[in-house]
Amino acid sequence: MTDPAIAVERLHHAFRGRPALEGMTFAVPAGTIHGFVGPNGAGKTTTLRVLATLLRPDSGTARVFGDNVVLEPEKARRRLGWMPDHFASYRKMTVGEYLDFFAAAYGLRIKERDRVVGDVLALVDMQARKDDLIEGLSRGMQQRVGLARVLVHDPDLLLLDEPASGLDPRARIELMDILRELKGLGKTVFISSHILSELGDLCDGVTIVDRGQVRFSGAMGELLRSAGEDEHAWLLELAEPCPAAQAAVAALAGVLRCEADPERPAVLRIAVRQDGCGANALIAAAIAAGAQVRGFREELRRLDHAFMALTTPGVRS
Amino acid sequence: MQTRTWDGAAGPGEDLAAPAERGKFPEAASAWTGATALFTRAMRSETRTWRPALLRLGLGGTMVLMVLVASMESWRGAAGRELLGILAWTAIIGTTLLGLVLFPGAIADEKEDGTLPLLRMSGMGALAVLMGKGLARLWDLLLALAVVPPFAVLAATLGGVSVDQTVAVVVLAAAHAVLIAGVGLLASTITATQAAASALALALLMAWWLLPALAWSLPQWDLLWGPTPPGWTLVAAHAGEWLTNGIGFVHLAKILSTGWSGSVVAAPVWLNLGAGAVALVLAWLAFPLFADSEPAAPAAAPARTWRGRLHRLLAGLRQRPPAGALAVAWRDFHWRGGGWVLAVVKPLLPLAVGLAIILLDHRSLVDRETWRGLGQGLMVTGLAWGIIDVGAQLSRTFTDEIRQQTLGALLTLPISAGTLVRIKVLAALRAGASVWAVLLIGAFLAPKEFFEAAGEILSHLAGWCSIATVAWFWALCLWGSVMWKRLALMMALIGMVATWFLVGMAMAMTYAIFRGGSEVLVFIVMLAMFLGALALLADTPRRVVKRGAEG
Repeated sequence: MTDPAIAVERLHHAFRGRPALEGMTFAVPAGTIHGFVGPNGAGKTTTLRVLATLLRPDSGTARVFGDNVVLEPEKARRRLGWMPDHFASYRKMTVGEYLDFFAAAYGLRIKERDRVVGDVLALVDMQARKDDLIEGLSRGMQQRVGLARVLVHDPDLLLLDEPASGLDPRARIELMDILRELKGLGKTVFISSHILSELGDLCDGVTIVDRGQVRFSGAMGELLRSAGEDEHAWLLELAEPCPAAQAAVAALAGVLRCEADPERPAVLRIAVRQDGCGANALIAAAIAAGAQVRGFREELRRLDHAFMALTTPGVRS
Repeated sequence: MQTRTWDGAAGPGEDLAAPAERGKFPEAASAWTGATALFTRAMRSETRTWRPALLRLGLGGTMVLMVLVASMESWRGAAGRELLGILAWTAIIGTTLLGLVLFPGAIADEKEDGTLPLLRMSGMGALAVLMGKGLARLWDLLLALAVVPPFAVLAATLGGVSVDQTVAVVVLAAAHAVLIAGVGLLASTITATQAAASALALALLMAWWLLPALAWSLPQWDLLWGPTPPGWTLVAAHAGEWLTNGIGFVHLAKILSTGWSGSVVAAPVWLNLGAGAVALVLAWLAFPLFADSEPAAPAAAPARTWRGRLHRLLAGLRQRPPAGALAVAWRDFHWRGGGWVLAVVKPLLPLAVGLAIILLDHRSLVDRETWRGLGQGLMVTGLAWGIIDVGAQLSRTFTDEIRQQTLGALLTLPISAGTLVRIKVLAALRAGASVWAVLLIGAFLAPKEFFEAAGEILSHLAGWCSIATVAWFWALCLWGSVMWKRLALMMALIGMVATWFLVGMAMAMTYAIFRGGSEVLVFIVMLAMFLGALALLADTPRRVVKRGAEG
């Protein structure tokens, strides 16, 4: 069995007596895009800094592909790339010089560097800006350069701290596309972000943290499924409100609830026991009652709803 | 009572029929309001950090040491003059060094942080920004030097100096501070980075100090360009004398001379104040041209602008970084140390000054003694400059990385923090290597004197103690680049001076008590400094990791 890309166990850390991490435990499977979300001060950046080998935790273990980041930091560093939440760069260098420098610092020879710098610039679509000074680039472009820098040594795991903050919608969407592409190349992406709507579409898994503790960690689908474990929730969209169809569906075996959405009366929200009737029976009952069906899908929560439900309001004292 | 909210919206009971009044931004801050706001901000920030307090403590401690030394020297008579002399030279040299650290960063810091446009958007004028930033730093400087006056008064009570001399020293130090402030602010306005501003401020001060020499030498230019016009000699002599007296160091020497009875607020004081004011006005005039312009113009099309062309030219001089950890040294050498351009320019400067002196002094170029004299001058210059230059490089080793927030990226490279520190020290030594070339050129011109001096240093314990002091100074600079950041060089200099005083005192006391034994003490001190330097070097990686973890 292969090691998970990230395995964090009972991680504790405090800054001058103020606890930041309080027994953080989670794992991220290799080859996935995993979201890391939580309110401000939840411990996201602290966890990322521990994983990036920059911060030694007070206790607990953190492993990257099985390598302990505290005991074997140099081994772990070869397999990870860390992009901080601020844009840290040598602003007087050109994009090409900056990437060439980091590639050299990771030990790549000149010929190899030319190819790698070209490849990562192509990946982030910045070939045309290779000779530009970094200080003159827009924020979105600087983020792309930051991502390119993380990729020069071909790491297996990318730790991205708020990579989309401050980007315009187009730049954000393009960044998400790049991350999907990186996943296609076999990389594991561990991404901290506050833009939950995009994470919901992008990530295979998610870890929600609050006040230094993990509130949820697992597959995205598992989190977003709105119904309880022993039931399914469906949304049946009709052409117009139809009380007869609602009554017919409600009468089926295993249907726990069937209610019209208060805001959109033509949409029926149906809860069915796991062992109850299937989707075909629900649709057939509605059609038989004279309704015209427009759509049918499983009802999922939005990530922001799940986030709000799992985290505590207010700022941590 | 009518009220008005901050955004100009009408408050309860207010007449709504005055739409033109509503929605207006508050009026632009006056120069005084803006300057006060910046000054207050600086004071608030300062109360939240311990570094300036530590610097003042260091200066105060140094002064106390001087008083002790002066009291030990009192058996020679005129203890007051001894004390005032030490105090005055420390104050004026300290003002120069601290001023070169503080003022060039005033505007350049805001440019580097990208916060200057925010200040300008608030309606703050160029004068308000210059005054606010300048006053806060002038306050810092004066506060650091505030330890001088009480001890200067003490000097007057010890005898050997008049009260007028004491007051004249303090007034001159303040006027010199204003000059340094003006020059520093001008350099800070013109340049884009603090490092460039410091270099420009130093160059401007050097020009100010060399101006009298040029004036004096005007009549002698006939050697180069033929006979000078009649009356030229007299005008040049007067100008030369006037400008020479305007140099703080020269005037200070006169004040401290026995029997001085000049005016407390003499012409040189006015000259320093005037030059400082002119520099400030120039900074004000230059502000819209340099400080308000976009810093990164060449980014879009580097090849088509003069900056872009220069950048390409310099990039052409750089070779590609070597693979591995040495790439860090390559970056530091080319971007922090000035690269090949400064490596060539640095040794050329003292050579050019030396040759200029030879020419202006009408010395013969075929005389062996001329070249030997130049060689001796270059050796001394190269040695002193080399020590300071490497110290300055080391004092910025991690300061720049912390400022640019790039330390984290370096610490995630697959090398240990210890290796990172060693590589960066190597880069600083490499950047200073070209200055050592001046020493070697001097040695080539005066080989006998070089080998004699080297023999003296290496064969005596005091020589080894000097080497240990340099190691201690460099280690303080390196360690300080993590701990004291911008003040690293200043703190290291204070540390070194304090060490020397302590050593001097200890030697004098040992001799006074045991009538000998100072050789043993020197050995102990030398060993302590070498071990101290090693301890700081060993501690630096730990500090770097801690700093990196803080983000």
